[in-house]
This record gives sequence, structure tokens and C-alpha cells, in this order.
Amino acid sequence: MSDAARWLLPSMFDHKAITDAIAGPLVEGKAGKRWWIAVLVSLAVTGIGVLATGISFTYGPGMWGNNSAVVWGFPIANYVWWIGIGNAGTLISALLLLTRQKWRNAINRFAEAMTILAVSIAGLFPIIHLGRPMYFYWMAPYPNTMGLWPQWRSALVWDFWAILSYLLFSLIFFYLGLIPDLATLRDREGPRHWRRIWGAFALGWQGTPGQWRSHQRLQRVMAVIATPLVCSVHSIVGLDFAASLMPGWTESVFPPYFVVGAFFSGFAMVVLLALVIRAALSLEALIRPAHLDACAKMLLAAGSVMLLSYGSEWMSALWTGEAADLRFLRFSFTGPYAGLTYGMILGNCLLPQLFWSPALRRSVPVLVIVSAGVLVGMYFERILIICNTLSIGYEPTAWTLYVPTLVDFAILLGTGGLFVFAFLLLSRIIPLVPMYEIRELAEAAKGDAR
Amino acid sequence: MTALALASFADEAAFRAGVAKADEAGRRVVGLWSPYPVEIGAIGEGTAAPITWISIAGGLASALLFYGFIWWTATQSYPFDSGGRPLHSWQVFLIAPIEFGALAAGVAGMIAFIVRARLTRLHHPAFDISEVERASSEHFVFALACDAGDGGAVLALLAEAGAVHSRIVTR
Amino acid sequence: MSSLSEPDFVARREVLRLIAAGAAASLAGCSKPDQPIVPAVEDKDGDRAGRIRRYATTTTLAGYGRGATALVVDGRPIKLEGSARHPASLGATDLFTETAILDLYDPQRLRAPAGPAGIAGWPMLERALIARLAGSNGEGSVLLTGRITSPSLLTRIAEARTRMPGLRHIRSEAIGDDAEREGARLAFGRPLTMRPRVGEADVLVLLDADPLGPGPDQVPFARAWADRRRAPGKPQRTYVLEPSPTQSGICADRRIALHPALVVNALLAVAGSLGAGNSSGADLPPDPAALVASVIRDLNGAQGRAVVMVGRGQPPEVHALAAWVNQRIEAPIDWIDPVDPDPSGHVESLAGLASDMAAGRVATLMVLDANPVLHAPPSWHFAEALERVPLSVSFSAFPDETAMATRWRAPLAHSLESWGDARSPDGTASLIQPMVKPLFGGRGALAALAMLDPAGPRPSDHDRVRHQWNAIDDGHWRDLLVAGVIEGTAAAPVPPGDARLVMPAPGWASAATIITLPPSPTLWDGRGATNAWAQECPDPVTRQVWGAALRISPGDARRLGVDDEDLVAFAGLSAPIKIVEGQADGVATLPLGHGRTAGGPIATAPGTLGAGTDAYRLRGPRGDWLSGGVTLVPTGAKAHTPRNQKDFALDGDAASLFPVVAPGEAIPKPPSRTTLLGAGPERPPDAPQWAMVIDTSACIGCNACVVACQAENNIPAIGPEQIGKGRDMHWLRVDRYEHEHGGGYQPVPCMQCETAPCEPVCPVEAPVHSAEGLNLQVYNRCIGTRTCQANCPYKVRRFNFLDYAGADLWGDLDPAPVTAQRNPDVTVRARGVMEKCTYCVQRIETAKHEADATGEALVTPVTACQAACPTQAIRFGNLADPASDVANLRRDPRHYALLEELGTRPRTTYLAKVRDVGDGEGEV
Repeated sequence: MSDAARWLLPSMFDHKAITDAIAGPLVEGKAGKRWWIAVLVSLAVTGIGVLATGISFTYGPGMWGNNSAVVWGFPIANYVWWIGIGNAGTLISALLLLTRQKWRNAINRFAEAMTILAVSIAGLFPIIHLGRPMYFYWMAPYPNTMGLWPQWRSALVWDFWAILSYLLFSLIFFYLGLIPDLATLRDREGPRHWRRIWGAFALGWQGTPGQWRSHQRLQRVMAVIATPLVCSVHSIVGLDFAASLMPGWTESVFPPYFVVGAFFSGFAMVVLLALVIRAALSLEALIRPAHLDACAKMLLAAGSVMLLSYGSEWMSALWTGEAADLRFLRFSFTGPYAGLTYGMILGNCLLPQLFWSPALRRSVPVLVIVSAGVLVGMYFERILIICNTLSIGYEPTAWTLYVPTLVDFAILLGTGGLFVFAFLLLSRIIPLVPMYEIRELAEAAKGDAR
Repeated sequence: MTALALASFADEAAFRAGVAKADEAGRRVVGLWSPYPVEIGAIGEGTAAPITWISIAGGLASALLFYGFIWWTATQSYPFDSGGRPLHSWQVFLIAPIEFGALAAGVAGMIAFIVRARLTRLHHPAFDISEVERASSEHFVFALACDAGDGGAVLALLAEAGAVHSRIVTR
Repeated sequence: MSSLSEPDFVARREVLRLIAAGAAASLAGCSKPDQPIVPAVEDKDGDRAGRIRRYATTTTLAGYGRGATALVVDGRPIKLEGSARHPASLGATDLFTETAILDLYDPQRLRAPAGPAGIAGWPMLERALIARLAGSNGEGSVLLTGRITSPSLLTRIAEARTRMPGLRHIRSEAIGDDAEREGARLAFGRPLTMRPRVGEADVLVLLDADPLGPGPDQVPFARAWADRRRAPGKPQRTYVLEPSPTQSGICADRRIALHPALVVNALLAVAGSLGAGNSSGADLPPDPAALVASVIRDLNGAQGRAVVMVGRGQPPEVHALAAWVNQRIEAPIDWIDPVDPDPSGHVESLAGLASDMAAGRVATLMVLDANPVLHAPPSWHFAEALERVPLSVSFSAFPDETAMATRWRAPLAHSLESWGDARSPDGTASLIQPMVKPLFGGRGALAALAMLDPAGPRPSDHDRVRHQWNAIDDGHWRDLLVAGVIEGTAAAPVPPGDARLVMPAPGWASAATIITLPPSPTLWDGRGATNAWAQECPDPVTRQVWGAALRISPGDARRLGVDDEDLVAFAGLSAPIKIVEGQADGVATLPLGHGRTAGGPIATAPGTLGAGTDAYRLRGPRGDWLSGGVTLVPTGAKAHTPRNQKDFALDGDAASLFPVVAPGEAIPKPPSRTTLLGAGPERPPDAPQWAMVIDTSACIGCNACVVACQAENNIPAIGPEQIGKGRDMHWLRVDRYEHEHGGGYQPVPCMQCETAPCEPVCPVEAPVHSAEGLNLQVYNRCIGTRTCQANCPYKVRRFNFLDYAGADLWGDLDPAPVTAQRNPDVTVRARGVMEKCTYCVQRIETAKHEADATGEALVTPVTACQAACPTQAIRFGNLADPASDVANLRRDPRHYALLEELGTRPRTTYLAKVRDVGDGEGEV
């Protein structure tokens, strides 16, 4: 079995078939009952989150579990978690594009979509978590009567720029890839007004060699920029903590370790989405076991790296023998949050080890369990990073534990709903698999088949 | 009175062959449309290299400008003591410009791409040709310039080249 | 019929009038009293708006006066500070003086007399009393008060009794001094009050005594104690043997837990060593015995320079023996005639009243600022007896248990609303000067007495007080008011004569658990329970707020199989457990004054655990401060006990947070680390550089600074369940530490770091650094990212998680009056905003303005916490001036900074705690 053919069933060797398989389910086709149910459920869940946020805005952050010592809680954890999930999309499209991984074609489009949604949601939390959210824009540099400018030394300002740049950049990258497919939709039989909209966004794409050349060139250029950008964004998120002087935060390993963690959770989410989309849009011909296998290997690698970085963190504490760090270590393994710690290790480090077995790498249930486990484990890690350090700082007299409230959970849940809802809408108006790249792949596959 | 011969091919190989044939026959290819990137010799508008440079330049320039702005706000416009840190804390001032520079590079690149690919022309005459519409999904299409007179010969040539469909349009 | 309907009719009229008056009062806010009052500091340009003026006055605790200075802005008293001229204040305050200002504006205060027919007016109450007393010789009438040291009041009462010989005055203070008096009587044949000259004592032996703890004498004692320990030369050593840790015990050099019944044995051992003869059966457990041995050794070497003190809870014989011991060692003690002239015992007189009432021998009872229903031993059934008094009226500020039990209750004016005087524990008299007219239409004690003596002449209270001090000419009167303190009124020491040797019977620890009942360091005898600040002030030992817990030793907890917050039932009460290191086995402790059942929404706030923790219910019929034997029964239930400090123990390196040194020992200076951090913008050379040095050795954990800060800086109380969530708003917290080298207190305000970690992390630059080294928080710039607090190693920033400033802890009562206490120079913080200690920047700025205005040199301002501190443990000043206090203290060998290794370069630094264990093996 040759390379390209591994990623595509012969049924997809015909360009028309590709177009129909991918463009078919869009608005032209009927949205099934399942879709409507999913939309309603996700809307309801989103509503819960909106309500909870409304409560927080009305009565104040006091509605959450935060306290004088643990001033940060769920909102920041949510932010770090979501932005982490938002990491994978761009990495997949950029990194795998640069490394010429053919299998990326089937998954990169919805991975990018995932990135944009996740990053947008993540971007909400720095605002939600504020004591006076109505003044969030004070973080932006604009001429004001006070003559004040943002504090460029603040990691939160770095965040502001990182998120902004990352979001907009990913959006452009996403759109760039979308243009030829929009042209396809424009030229295809279908609802008039939608074709107009697609046509408008297709910017008059024709598919002449010159256009293709520029398109390919810019895609590569952006990929080259995107890869370091993604890493820097997550390093900066890591700096939110590392650029402090609290025990358990001042870790030089944090930036890289946040990048890996982000990539990790992002990939777990990609796997889940891939499985869902595959089943929902019956794209088994495009998303092959080989794809799942490749993703599983990614998870395995990342999971092992996580284990290493945790290990290095613990070892450095043991080696330095810094009392605060040791106390911190003891606390995380024997303290009240120990359960979370073990859950984190289980989800992030142990579960992915299942993927040493090729069979399990291709088994859908195992993939679901492990990816879910990773997502949960990563959330535990995020919340632990915050609570461990803030609960037991330098001053024992200020030690306080953190207990989230219903409102905290409701907000987290709501963002999940929002994510699903937005994704469902996208799945109806844009092709979740890049058609022109699949055509290319099909051509190659045909070549191999001969 | 000139005419245009339009040929559609079902797959890339046939398309390449067709273009080659037309070339040998000394026919001038005046248009190529493919559903995914296909490189055929020197045919088609020039190089895309400038996009790289524009993008890089845009990114660097914006980053520098941004750093300058930060330096100005922190040391000139409104300098004050913040935790006894130096007014010009260049190490940390670098971070925001880098992020912003990346974004700017993307934007610059996008603009360059739009200009170079002659996009945003929603009403291009090519769109009046039905073949071009199918070129965005399954067909590979090219157009040859020819005189109304030798239309038959051209069609024969194209058929022989394996075009699934070809015709002459006169204007 | 008409006689019945008439009061009703009047009542309605009265009610309308009152409502109008009340409305007027709350609108008009504060108005000056009719009589001219005189500012302590005369200013040429009269009353400038917003200008803080200071008036000398007096606050009372347990009837004793403590000189105070009222800070008044535009006719509003906003804070109380000490009065340097007053011996019981020495310029400092205690918790109770600091909280008094909130009482003034407390919406829970009674606003109008109320009788059987509901809300009534003064005329109706007067009529009711006249109907009963007019023409009578007062037979069957009783005036019940707490301790009265006020000369004018005593004169007034005497005057009334000349007209009405039958009128009885019964004086019973909740926390009395019966044992001390009785002890003195046993030793010297007459009641005398002991006034140790602590400053002359090299050795201080406290047997179940807590002179550094709450009480009218706390401030002067603590000051003398701290000064003595600060003084160069021979270190002073404090021994404490006590059943449960107290402030004295925590501050002691050597302290050991001892069953209260065994304290007598310790004293017997000491007395024996001084030739009192050996008493058989006076045994002690080994550790206390060892401690007593070193006590004896020290006492022998300290003839004339040692004092033995015995606690309120110990029986008279022990006090008598202590008197003998003190005389044998020529202890530096002044004996004075009791400042409270009433010879009768607090308990027995009240017991007599109870039985008289029960027997129906009391026709009229006027309770003046006392709450016997709360503190009378339950076996007396005081409330029921009170039922049998036909006409009973209680003058009280709050609707307390007694006021709700008497037929009539009438609002008593706050001391800042009435004229009067009081004596301090050493006899010094000082004047009570009103700052405002009664806000809620209350009447002062003198006016109240006038109602009991309708026939008497009716000069105004002001005239009575002025007459009392026969200030004939205005100039003299004015000088008295300016000073507040009346010079030369201190009681002269009297030669006590030879102390008789009284040998008390040796004690033995009963098998059954007993419960000691000390006054609460935050609520005193329960008075503080109505005060939100007092309730929210952490207990100096357990750091619990808004309620009490039953303290037991770790050993007993293990035996009972209970843990913190487990509810245990005992003697009809049920209280949550707090395990306390250093608690004697077999002894539990429940502070008095908690678990109130009346007094308003604060006293009975949910989370204060209700009557289950009312320690007074445990008083035996003889009113001792020990319960009988009880058995603690775990109920399996839990009760949340909000505390704003959970851990006291410091392990390993953490001990460096609170170093403890031997006398003369120095703190090793940490190696100066090189930093990659570039230098910040240089500060103007002429700007003062503010800094604070806190001497942990002098801190007695009294919390006066905490509440002083609260009053000065408009810090709201946030209530039990917010504290339970781990939130608190005190800008200044007093940490308590325990480790193998000893424990102590460490007040922690903002460190005002020179390289503040909180400043550069704020995206919107709300925290900025001033040229004078202040770490300022710009409230209206703050958007509440809380990054500053997340990054603060000292966790001294406070966040408004909810709208605390607008918080309403007073149930459905309108909290508006409380806002009148707010300091106009300090911003009231909004929801979602971070706040923190500012070194009282408003006082600094005021000082600078003064300097500008007068053109004179800047007078170093005094921060609120510094002003309050009884032991002057907190010093504040200008570091740039090498001669300043702080500059000198920074050169002290004991000087250190918190978490110096982090390189934050704090401006608030500390002097290490000194502990002189001598030959003691560091037992804590």
C-alpha cells in the first residue's frame, strides 16, 4: 500500500466525488434532526453560562470561590485551558504543512476552525475575570485624558497582544486556505444567496496558476511565521505565572511546558472532533484509521513529554531543597488537592501510554477515552497551577484553600456549550475539509495506485 | 476576427498532455484554470516571491514601530516609578512587539497576496465562461487563442489531446 | 378607662413625634452640644471645613476611664485615639476604645424609650417613674449599675439617696474583682488594689493571670512591660503558668500549661521556698514543677525586683498568699485604696438582688448600663426574678438581654454624646466631653439618674460635672476640658502593713473536665458583641472571628476523638471544638461574651453560633470563672468557625519569618545578592523616605492597631460568611506564630517594597510607586485583575469581591448612620477594586500641607496603627533622616526584613522577638 493511498479511499479518487462528499452536507443539504438537537442542547448549555456570567457581573467576583489568597480561580484556569486547545489547529496546519505531512489535509481545516473558536472563547476570560469588566479596554493603548499607557512590563499586557495577534493571524491563515473552496461553493449548484455570500468571500478566485502560486507561497510564509507564533503565545501564557516570584510559579520550564501542554490538549480535542465529524458527516473515506493512528502517536509523544516536564519540575524542587518548593511539592501530593494531582498524572501521562499498542491507536472508544482523559487532566493541571501556589504561598498565616462555586462551574460549562454551538454553525456553512488539498491528495493517490 | 478555444480535462495528467500538445502545435495558451495548484512550465503570471519579502518587511517594520511606541510611552510620554524597575526595561518591552510583528507580517502578506493574485475582481470576464466554473471543482481548463477559421483543426487537436469537452467561442 | 386609654393616646402622639425627631436626627446628622466644648488644640482660623479637630474625652471599660482624643470632622467624630496625658492611655488605645466609635453610629442602638405599651416617649417614662417614686423615700427601689468610678455619678447617687434613704444602689460588674479584693482583705484586713511597678521587675511570675490581655489596665501594664524589656541592661523574664494560652502566655519567656486547680500548688511551692513552711499534698506534674523550680531560683536572686501576680479566676486565699509572697520578696508594688469605693462584692450583691426580686421585695428597679440577665449565674434565674418587679427600666445603648427583660427600656447616650467623668484604675480622674448631641435621642447616665430622683434639682449634666470639679471660673473649666485629665487625682499608695500568711489548701486536678471562663479579648464581657468591628477582630489566640469555640488540648481531642469545628455538647451548651496547643489537659476554655441571644443583628449574627457558646451559662452559683466538672459529648455535627488564620506552626526555613533570639543575640544578616535588575528612576533627594519598623518583641497581639486601621481607613466589616470564604479586608493583620524557639505576634501591614512585585504586573498601572517610597494603589484606575495580590509574597492586598462598602450587616436596619463614621480623607472603595495599606497616606499629606501652610519643618506623621499601639511596637518615620526612629531601629542587631531573600526590599521591617529562656529547655 503506497503512501498517499493510505490517507484516502479509492472512492474519493474522483474529484467530483470529493466535492460532493465535502460540499454536499453544507446548507444545500438538509440539516438532519441530530444537528438540530445538538444545536438546541448546546444553546441551552451556553445559556447557563451566560446566566452565570450575568450573575457574576451583577454581584461581583464574590460569586466565585476566589478568596484573599487564591485571588485567581476558574476564570484564569479556563483561559489557560481554552487557549491551550486553541494551539493545535494552527500548529497542525503550519507545522505539518512545512513538514509536508499529507495526512494533515483531512484534518487541518476543522482544526483551524477549532483554534479560532477556542482562542475567541479563551479571550473572553481575561475580561470575565476582572473585578470591573466594563473597563477591560484600559488594557489597550489609546490616547486618554490621564495620559496613561498600558504597563508594558505586565504579563497580562503581553497576553493581550499575544491573544490578539494569535487570533487575528489564525483567522487570516484560516481564511486564506478557505478561498479556493469558497470558489468551489460559489460555482456549484446551490442556494442563490449563499452562493452570493461565498462568492463575495471567494474574492473572485479563479484558480489560475498565478493565483495558485501566490496562494501557495503565502500559505508557506504564514506557516513559517505561525509555528514560532504559536509557541510564543503559549510561552507568554506560561510567563503569566513564571514571571512572578511565587513558589511553584517561578519555573524556567514553564514556557516550553505550557507549549507542549497546549499542543497536547489541542490534539486531544482534534481527535475528538475528528471522530465526531467523521461519524456525523460520514467522511470515513477521508478520515482514515491512519489519521487516527497518527494523532494517537502525537498524543503519546506529547503525553510522555508532559511526564518528563512534570518530573523535571519535581526533581528541581527536590534538588534545590528550597523549603518553599519542597513544602509545595509535599502539598501537591499529600495536600487537599492531591486527588487532582493524581487525576492530572493519570489523564496526561498514563492514559496516553495505551497508545504504544497499534490496535488501541485505531480503536475509536480508546481514542475517545484517552482524549477526554487528556482534556480533563489538562484542566486539572491548569487549576492546580493556580491553586497550589496561591493556597500555600510564602506566608503560612495567609494559607487558604480554594473551593469553586456553582457559578464557577456554570461559566466553564457554558463556554463548552458555546464552543459546540459555534462549531455546529460552522459545519453548515464552510467545508470542514479542504477540498482542493484532498483533490491534490487524490491525484497523488491515483498516481500511487497505478 | 479571433476566437477562443476552450478545453476541459478530467484529470491533471491529461491536462498537462493537452497543454503540451497545444504548445507543440504552436497554439498560444491564453488561460489556465485548475481545481488545485498545478505548475505548468512558465505558463501563467510571474513569480510570487515578492509576497515573502513584503510580508517579512511589513512584520519587521511594524514590530520596530511598536517597540518605538512602547519606548516612547514608558520613557518619554509618561515615565514613572513602577516597582523600582528601569524606565526602559527593554527585555520585557520586546515581547509585545514580537507578537504584534507576527500579526503584521500576516496582514502584509495577505494584502500582497490579494494584489498579486488580482483578487477582489468579482466580475471577471472569465466568469462568463461556463467551463471556468467547473474548473473550481473538478475540471482542468485551458483556453487557446485561434482564428475563427481554423476552429475545426483546433477542436480536433484538443479532442486528440483527450479533452472531455471542448468548444470554440468567438467574440 | 381614660387612665388606660390615655397612655395609648399619648403613645401615638409620642410615636409620631419620635419618628419626626428620628428622621430629623438622621438627616441633620451630628450637631454640637448646647454647651461650648473646647478643642484640645486651638486653631486661629476657627472651624475649617474638612479640618480634623481633636478633643480630649474619656472612654470607659468596666467602669474605669481611659483618656481618649476624639478626632472630629465637621462635627462628626470619626475616630478615637489615646490621650498622652492619661495614665491608662499614655497616648495609646486598646481594642475597646477603637471600636467605641462604631457604637456611636450603630444602627442597632435603641432610639426611644419603650414600655409595656410599645414605643413610648421620655415624658411617658418619666411619668411612670414619678408615679412610683414621687414622695416615696425610695423604699423598695433599687438602682443597679456596673462599676462606677465617676465622681459626678457617685455624688449624684449619694444626693439621690439623701432624699430617698430607702433607695439601694447595687453595683455589680460582669467581670468583677471580688477575688482580688477578698484576697487583700485576707492579707491586710482591708480591701486594697495591687498596682505592680512592672518597670522595676526583672522577674514577672503570672499565675493564671493575663495582665497583657484585655482589661482596663492592659495599656499601662503592657507599656511598662514592653519598656522594661526594651531597656538595656538586665533582661526581664516573664514566667506564665496558665490553663489556656493567653496573650501573656504567648508573649512570655517561659510558659507552661497548668490545671487551674494546681496553680495554688505552684504558689505554695514558691511560698514554701520563702519560709511559709511546706504544705503536704501540694504536688505538681514534673514539667510545671521544673518550671516552678527555676521560678524559685530566679525569685531568690531578684529580691525587690520581682512580682508575682495571680489571676482573677483564682480564689481569694491564693491572692492573699501571693500578697504575702510579694511582700517577702519586697516586690515593687503600690497598694492603693480601691478606686471603686463600693465595698460590697460584685457577685454577692447581685445575688442578694436576685433573691430580693424573687421574694418580691423590689418594687422599682432601674438598671443603668448593666446586663445582669446575660452575666448572672443561670442558677439564680435572674430573668424570672426580674419578672416579679412591678416597674423595671433598663437604660442601655442596645436592646440587650436585660433591656428586653425589663418592663421599660430607654436609650442610653454614648460617652461621646454625654457629659461625665471617670477614674482610671490608678484613680486618675478625667472628663467625658460630648462631641455630638445624642444621635438617637438617648440620655446620659446623669440625666437618667435625674429620672430616678424626680424631686431633686435639675442642673444640666454639664453643670453637674463642672460643679463636681468646682471649676468656678471659665478659664479653669476650659483648661480642664483641654487637658481632659485632672492632674493630681491619682490615688496615693498606702502602706498596706504586714501581710498575714494565709495558707490555702493544696489543690488537685479533678478527673472531670472543667471549663475556664476568661473574658473575650475582642468582646470583653459581651459588650463588644454588638460591634461589627469587634466581632470581626480575630481572637489573639485562635484567630477566630464572629464567634467562640471551646478550646481543648490536643491530648483531650485525641481522647474524645474530635477535631476542629466538631460540635460537642456539655452542660446544656454545644460549641465547636478548637484544638489549642499549650492548653492544659482536662481543662477546656470558653471565652465569655459570645453566643448572645439579644443585642441586635450583629450580636446574634448567623455564624456566631448562638446561645450554645454563651459561657456565662456555665457560671456556678457563686459566680466563679470556672465551670463545675462537665463531660464533653461529641455530637458528630460540625459548625463552621470562621478564622482568618489557619496555621500557626512554622516548620524548617519558614521559622525565618519569625526569628526568636536570646537577649543580646543578633540576627545574622543575609548575604547581599547581586541582581540583574537595572536601577529604577532615582528619587528626588529632598523627598522623605517613609518606613516602618515593628518590634515583634513588644507586640502583645491586642489588635488595637487592626481596628485603628479599620476606623481610619474606612475598612468595612464583611461578616462571618465572607470571612468563612477566606476573604478578609483588614489592611493590617496580626499573625500569630508558634515554633520550637517560641511563639509570638507579628503585625503585617503592606511592606511598601522598594522593588514591589505587585507594581509592574498590573496591566493598567493602578499600583504606582511614590517618590517617598510609598507603594500606592490608585483605586479608580484598578480594574480588578488581582494580579498584584497573586504576585504579592506577603499577601497583604485586599480585594472587594462584593460591594463591601455598601454591605449591610445590620439586617433590615438602615446602615446609613455608619457611613457618618467614615474618614473624609480616605476613598471608599468600590466593588471589584484592590485595596491595601497606604501608611495612612492621608495623614502624611495632611502633615505636608501643615508644613507648607506654616512654613515649618515637616512633622513626622503618626500612622493610625502606630498611634494605637499600647507598647509602641510600631514605629514610623523618615528613613532619609538618619536621626529618625526608624533609621535607628534599622541599625538594631535584631533588625530583619520579611522574606528578604526575595529581593523585594521592604520598607516595613521588623525587630526579632527576644525570648529569655534562661535555663529553660525551650518549652513553649
